[in-house]
Amino acid sequence: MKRKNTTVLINAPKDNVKQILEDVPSFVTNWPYVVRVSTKNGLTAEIMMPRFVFKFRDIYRFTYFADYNSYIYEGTGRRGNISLVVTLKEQQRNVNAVLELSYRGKGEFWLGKTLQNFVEKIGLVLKDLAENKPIQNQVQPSVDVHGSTVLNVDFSDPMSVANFLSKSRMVHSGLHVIGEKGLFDLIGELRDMIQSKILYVSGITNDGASSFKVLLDGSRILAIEYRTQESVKAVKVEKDEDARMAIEIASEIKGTYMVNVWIPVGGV
Amino acid sequence: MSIKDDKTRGFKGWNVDPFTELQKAWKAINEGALLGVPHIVGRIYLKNGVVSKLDMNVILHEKEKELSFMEGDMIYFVIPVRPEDGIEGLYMKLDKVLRDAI
Repeated sequence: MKRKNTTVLINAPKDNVKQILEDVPSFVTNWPYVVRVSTKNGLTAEIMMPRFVFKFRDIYRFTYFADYNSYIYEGTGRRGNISLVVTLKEQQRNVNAVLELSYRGKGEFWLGKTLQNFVEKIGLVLKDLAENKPIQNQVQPSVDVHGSTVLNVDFSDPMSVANFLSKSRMVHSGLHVIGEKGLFDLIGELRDMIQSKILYVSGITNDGASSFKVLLDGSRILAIEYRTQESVKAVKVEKDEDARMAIEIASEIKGTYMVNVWIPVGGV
Repeated sequence: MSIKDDKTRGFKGWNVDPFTELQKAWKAINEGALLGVPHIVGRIYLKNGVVSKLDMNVILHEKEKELSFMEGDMIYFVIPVRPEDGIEGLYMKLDKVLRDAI
């Protein structure tokens, strides 16, 4: 059995951290080295731990236990067992989380460094997730994301999109039917699910013939692009006139789209 | 993973629009996903750290296989993809391969 641990100081209320830890599938999905997660029959995750030129790949079935201040994720694989214990200590304004990762199984004598990395990165993920997830009725964090270069997305400039994406993560993926002028309904639906002021919504039809991308700040469209086989329409909203055009473009969008939503992470 | 990372010193940006290229491949990826694991296979031409050309095809395989290497100014890649990733997800995979290969 190899054990590795780390401590992270999270600048967020304990409830925030708890919320992340209790949503086991999304928490596990965000771990490093996790290749694939399935929730079909309970939670299983395929984890690939690299060491030198080798990769230790196994599928673990996760069970989850929690009590007052500790959270245990136990994964049973074919060739090994992995478990993570997170203990929270509440301080005045922040939370101290102690993470201990233990692994017993194939390659355990080699994997010390990898496991240390693993647990440290999980710690960082937890910190990132907790600090970025505003509770619904909490005042929005005062981090000024406006005017930052990251939000300066212009869909006719792929590098600006790339720059935004490099500091974002995908939070939702699914097929959606967009009816007449239905993009706004979809956005409303997404807002109920995802608590982030900034949303990057992208959709593409099955045949790839038509696609749209839109960047939103609250209900305001910052930039939009709508691509069909005939034309490409893109607007970056800077003036009132642009805003009108953006809404016009948005209301043209309809059909069945594979929709992905990205939100910025970290101190944008 | 910002563009200023040390690892990416050799990579400065795109001269072709990767999103458009990926969108062209989307239909094949989507249809392929019903039959197997779609992979994008292709070559990236680098000129002074800038991608000047992207050649790409979609093939199907039974299992996920990832491979990339750099030879001269060219990066060869095979990347398993899933339609759930969306265009942006594909781009992020391509971007990672590019940065790893350099």
